Parts: sequence; C-alpha cells; structure tokens
Amino acid sequence: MNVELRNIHKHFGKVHANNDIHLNIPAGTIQGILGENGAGKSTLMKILSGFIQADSGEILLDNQPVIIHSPADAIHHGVGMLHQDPLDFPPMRVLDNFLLGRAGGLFPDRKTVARDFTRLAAQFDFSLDPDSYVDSLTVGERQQLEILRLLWLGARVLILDEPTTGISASQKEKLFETLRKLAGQGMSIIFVSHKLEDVESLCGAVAVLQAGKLVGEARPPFPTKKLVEMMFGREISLGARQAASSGRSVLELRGVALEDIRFQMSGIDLDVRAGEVIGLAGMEGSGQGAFIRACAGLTRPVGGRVVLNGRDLTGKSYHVFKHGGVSFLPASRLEEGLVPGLSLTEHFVLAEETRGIFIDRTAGHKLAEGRIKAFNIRGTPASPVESLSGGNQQRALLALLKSPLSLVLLEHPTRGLDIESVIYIWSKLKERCKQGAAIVFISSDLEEVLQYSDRVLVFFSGKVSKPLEASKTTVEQLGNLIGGKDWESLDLEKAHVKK
Amino acid sequence: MISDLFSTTVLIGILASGIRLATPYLYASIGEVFGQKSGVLNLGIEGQMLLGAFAAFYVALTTGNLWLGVLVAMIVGAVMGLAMAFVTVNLRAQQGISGIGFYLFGMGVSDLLFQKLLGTVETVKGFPKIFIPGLSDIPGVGEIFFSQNLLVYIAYLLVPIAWFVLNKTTLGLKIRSVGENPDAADSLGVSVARIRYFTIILGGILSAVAGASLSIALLNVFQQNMTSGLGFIAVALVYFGAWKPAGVLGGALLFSMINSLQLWIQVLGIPIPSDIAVMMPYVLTILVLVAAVSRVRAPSALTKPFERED
Repeated sequence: MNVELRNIHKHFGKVHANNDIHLNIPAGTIQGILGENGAGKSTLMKILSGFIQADSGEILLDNQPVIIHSPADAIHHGVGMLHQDPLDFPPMRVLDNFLLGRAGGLFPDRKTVARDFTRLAAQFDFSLDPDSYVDSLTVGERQQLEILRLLWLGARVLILDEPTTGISASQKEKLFETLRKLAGQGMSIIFVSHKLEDVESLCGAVAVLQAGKLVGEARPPFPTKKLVEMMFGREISLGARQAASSGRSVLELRGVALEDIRFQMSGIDLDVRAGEVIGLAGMEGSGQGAFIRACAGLTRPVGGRVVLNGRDLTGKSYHVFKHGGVSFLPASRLEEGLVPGLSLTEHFVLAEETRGIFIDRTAGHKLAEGRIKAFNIRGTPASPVESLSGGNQQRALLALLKSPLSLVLLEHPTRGLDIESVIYIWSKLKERCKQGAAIVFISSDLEEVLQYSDRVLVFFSGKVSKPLEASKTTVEQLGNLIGGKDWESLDLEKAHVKK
Repeated sequence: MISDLFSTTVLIGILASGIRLATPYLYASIGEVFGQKSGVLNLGIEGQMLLGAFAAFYVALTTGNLWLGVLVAMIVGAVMGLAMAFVTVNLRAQQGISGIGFYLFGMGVSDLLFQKLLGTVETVKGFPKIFIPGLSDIPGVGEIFFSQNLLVYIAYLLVPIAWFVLNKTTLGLKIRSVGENPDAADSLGVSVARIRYFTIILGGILSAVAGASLSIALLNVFQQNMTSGLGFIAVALVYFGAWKPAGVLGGALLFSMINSLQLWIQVLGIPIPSDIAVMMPYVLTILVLVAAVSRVRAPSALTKPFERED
C-alpha cells in the first residue's frame, strides 16, 4: 500500500515535535526512519497509526486522503503498528491475544481462529504455541505474535518501532527475513530505529528526522557518515579501545554455584581486575541476570565463594557489598533504581550519607545543580525523575553513584538510548575505570559488548563460557555462542590451552 | 453451653444460615469481580447496597410487591453505577477516593430517606422459602441447601454464570483485556469506556440486589447503616478469591459460616462476650487478607484511568 504524508505538523506545548513533514512510501518498500531520541520519529508514527492526531497535514493511503481517529481506525485502513513495548495481554494465552482484535459475536470462534493462527505462523516459520501464556514468551516471540495479529487483522502497512531492541541475533535475522518477505508481497514496511547497522542492512530507503524536521533522505548504498551527521547535526566518533588493564583483583569468584527456577550453574571462576570492563552476553534469561546479582550480593550463591577486595563476602547482603564499594544499576531504571515522584535533588540527598533529621535543602539543591551540570542531564533539580527521558534517567543514575567505587555492575546500561547518549555514558563509565573501578555489564547489543569490554563471558541456558578476549572475538562468533552453537570449539580451545 | 453447639439441630441450623448469609456477599463480590477485571475498583459498594436495601424495602412495604422492590433496587443501583462510571471513566477520578465518596453518599441518603419516609424500624414479609420437591426432603442436606428463598438460589447460580461470561464469551475476553492493558485493547478497537461503563453499572445493580437481599429476603427490616461494613468485606473477598467467581464463593462461605456461628453462639447464650463474637468475621478478614497477599497478580490496569495519549 502506498503511504504518503503531507505537511504534517504536531505541537506538544511549546515543542514542535513534527515540523512540516513530507514522506512518500511506495508499496513494497522497507522505509527506514532514523533519528536520535526526541527527534520526532515516534510522534510521526503515532500520527500515522491513530494514537494521536496531527495538528495539521494530510495522510494519503493509495492516493486516497484518510482521517485516522484511533488505532482501531488505523488497522481498519490497513495500518498496523508494532510498539516497542508490545501491546499485548501477558496473563492471557497466545490465542486469546490473537483473537481479541476480531472478537465478534457472543462466543469467540476458537477453532477457526486457531486454524488461521497455525496457518499464518507456519507461513513465516514462527513456532508459537497458541495455548501458552504470553508472559512466558520472549520479547522476540511476543513481537512475532504481534506481527501475526496485525497481518490477520488486515494490515498492509506495518510500522515497527525499535523492533530489534531486546531480541536475540537469530530472532532479528528471522524478523528481517519476515519483513523482506512481506515487502515482496507488496506491503509497505516502516522501520523506526536509531541503529544505523539495522537500517542499512534492511531498508530500501531511509529518511532522517532531527528536531522534528525531515532533514534528509537516502537510498542504498547508504553514506553512513552522512547519515550520522544528519541525525546529530555533527560528526560523532566512537571512542578508541583502551588497552586491557592488569590491575589487582577487585572481585574474585571461586567455584560459585547459582540456582534459578530454570537452571543451575556451577563452578564459575573469575577474577575481575581493577580498571577492567567485562561484558556479559547471552539471550535474556540465560543466567547472566543471576550472575550479576550474585556479584552484587542480591542473590545468594548455593556454593563457592565471593571475595571482594580480599574480603570473603559470600552470603552477605547487598548492604555489605555496597559498603565494600559495589554499585548495581538494574535494567528497569524507574522500577528498581529511581523513585518515581521524587525530584533529582531528593535523589541526590537520599544517596548521600544521611546526617540529622532534616533535609538540608540548600545543600541538596547545590549538589543537584553540580551533578546535573557534570553529567549533562537535561532537567532541573526540581524535575521529578519520571519526567526525564530514558537517556537522562540513565545519566541521573550514573550521577547517583558514589565515589570512589571498586565495582560497578550494570544491566543493559544503554538499552533504548541514542548513539550520542551511549557514547556519553560510556565515556563516564570509562572515567570510572581510570579511577580504578571495574565494570561488569549485561547487554543484548553484541556490538556494544565487543566495543566496550576487555573480556566477555557468554551465557547460554545456565552455561558460562571462559572469559573471551573481546579484541579477538567477532560479532558472528558471539552471536553463535549466545545461540548455543560452537560451544564445542570453545571447549577445544580450552583443552588446547591446558595442554 | 458450648456442648449445645454440637447437637445435630444446631449444626444444621448453623450451616443453613451460613448458606443463607453468603447471599449479599455473593451478589456484591461477583459485581465487583466484573468491575475489577475491567480495571475499576468500586469502593462504593456499601453505599450502593444501603440504597438498594432501602429502595427494595420501601417499595415492598408500600406496595406489598417484593419483585417490584427488587426491580426498583436494581434501577437505583444502575443509576448509582452510571454516576460512578461517569466519575471514573470520563472524569478519571482516583477510584479509591471517589468510591469512599459514593459510600458516604449512599449511607447518608439512605439514612435521610429512612428518617423522612419511615421513621421507625418496621418489618416486611420477605421472600418465602422455596422447597424443591425431592431435594428438600433429603435429611440435613435438604434443610441446609434446599430450603432457602429465591434470592439465595439466584446468588449461587450467579457464580457459574459469571465464570462462564468472563472466561468463555467474547464480552468476558474484552473485559479482561481492558483490565490488563487498556492501550492494547483500544488499539484493537475494544471500547475501553463502553466496557467499563458496562461493568460498573452491572456492579451497581448487583450491589443494590445484595442490599435488597438483606432487607427483603434475609432480615426483612431496614435499619440505618444495616450493612455494617459488609460491602467492604465484599471488596476484600474479591482479592481473597483471586478475581475468580469460585474463589469469591469460597471466601463468601467462609465469612458467612463464621458469622452464622457467632450468631448462634449469641442465640444459645454461650458465655463468650458478644463483642468478641461479633468481631470474629472482621478479624478473620484481616488475617485472611494478610495470608492471601500476592498469591495472584491483580489485573494490571486496576485503578488506572484510561486516556489515549495526546
């Protein structure tokens, strides 16, 4: 289906989120939309999919002007959107989720729908059990379910918002394959992302948004440098790799064994040295979460010893670890790391060692102003944390870290952030390393793991690899390992070394 | 004497009145299950019950027609539900607070009407017991289960009906989807507002019938604040029952049996201070709720107003 946007304008208060946007997407195209956080990508897509209405402008589908009042209206016109947080019902079964969109009549016609579902899933080679519950699925599988449902509802334009965040390498491959197939059938695919590599490998055309405006369009072969410049209005270079350090051991794991509902891990040995960055790779739920929590004292190992700076802290609480200089930044920033409703100032005051009963407002304010400046947070001391964007919340969390620290543990430190924020956050983290802290982090972005780590541990359903030198490992190798392939070669290498 | 409690007659009496006393809990809690499944917490049940109880009693007293009493109570409940739905859905009020408002409103108005229209406690001839040939003749069982009045039977019938509607019908699927993820439901063309209006009004009607069951089927009187917290226990029962009609039935029976026991303790003159006896069901509420905490997850969108972002 042909999609055309004409003169789209949208204001949120004083912010001009979409400023006179024209875009023409012929049927059968995979159109990439690039832009940093807050560039107006999501706003534009929400307008096209009926979640919000444009202040002015026109939408034409197959050259017919349409007015889209609601998401249901959009799907009626053949426009379906796949959101970053899947719009589904976790406690319900896959089939219930699937049939909700077309629930007519007094009783849902499960039999027919189940048949439709199986046929459609087979078409794309998705293995989804219609009777399983959605909360047992991975993000990638939930995405597949969502795609099937939108297609079943008659979508001929598919909008995907950051679909490669949080899914595995093989799921990404399958997603891209599916999208290419759909485009081949004459559907229009709109692929919103801030990941250049994804856009470059998938899209047949790219439009770049910056500060609400369409600043450029390109076709393959894509001029990468120019695209980056258009996204940020200037050139950005990734920081150079530093030589791996060989400082003293900060954290020693000796034969650590961990248990989860799903798996058991045992015999984990690791020395984390000062100034070093260790990346943990693996599909979500492969054991890296339990591992990092064990390093933080949040999970009690069932065996082995955890030694921090020479002190045996096995079985001690997070509090003791924290006093020993460990800090843990969890993935769900707002849920676990920040307190919604409290301002930045209040956070900084909370994080300081408390003295006395009353809050020293002026000191807190001064402290907050300093940190906001030092960490380049877009917000004021009085801003409630939930009003900050993801990148700024992450910066606030970094600013909350005490110093000096000997070990920083991070879970998905840059998930959902644009390149500029990613680079900024890593530059701040590397500063910590120079001051002698060690960093252990989890990321599903393999490039990030290889780019910033000195050594990498791979997790696959409870198995842990030996530390791999990041500089000698490729994305392909890592991708295979997290998918459970090539582990034999790893063991061989080990055996080799032992000889 | 305590040993009096263990005679067959007394045991049958305790069980039979336990079955009967579960009636108002069942109506009110089943209505609340529908509301909460769609993401709406109705704390105003008590007020809706009191108004329903008064309406049914007054109509029954003045016209002598019990069914007309029930019908008027249902209309009153529907109007209360409609107002609640408007406040909840359109004005997006904080549900905990607005519910308390509706409770106080219902209590105040029923009190006022009682003083203006009745003035003194009167009695009405309530729904008669209905005996089912064959079943009612079974010794013990017949007396406990099958010598109740029609409103009691209907209350128990509601349990499987509610389960069926919630789990097997398209309407039930929509209700659950709205309570779980209204944004997603909206994107699929389910009208969040319409579903919530429906469940809140249904809840109002059932709460009013719960009140009517007290005033013209169980106690056959109307007094000021005669529900004495029953509506709030009904809310607690929904949590206790993990949002399942069968769970609610179990909770309702537990409370009504304890209640029945304490009534018989007083009737038989067993030397337990009556204050303590009366307290029993309420203490049990607290204990059971503490035990039931976090057993099952509540509907994700419970108490959250829905608004399409703009």
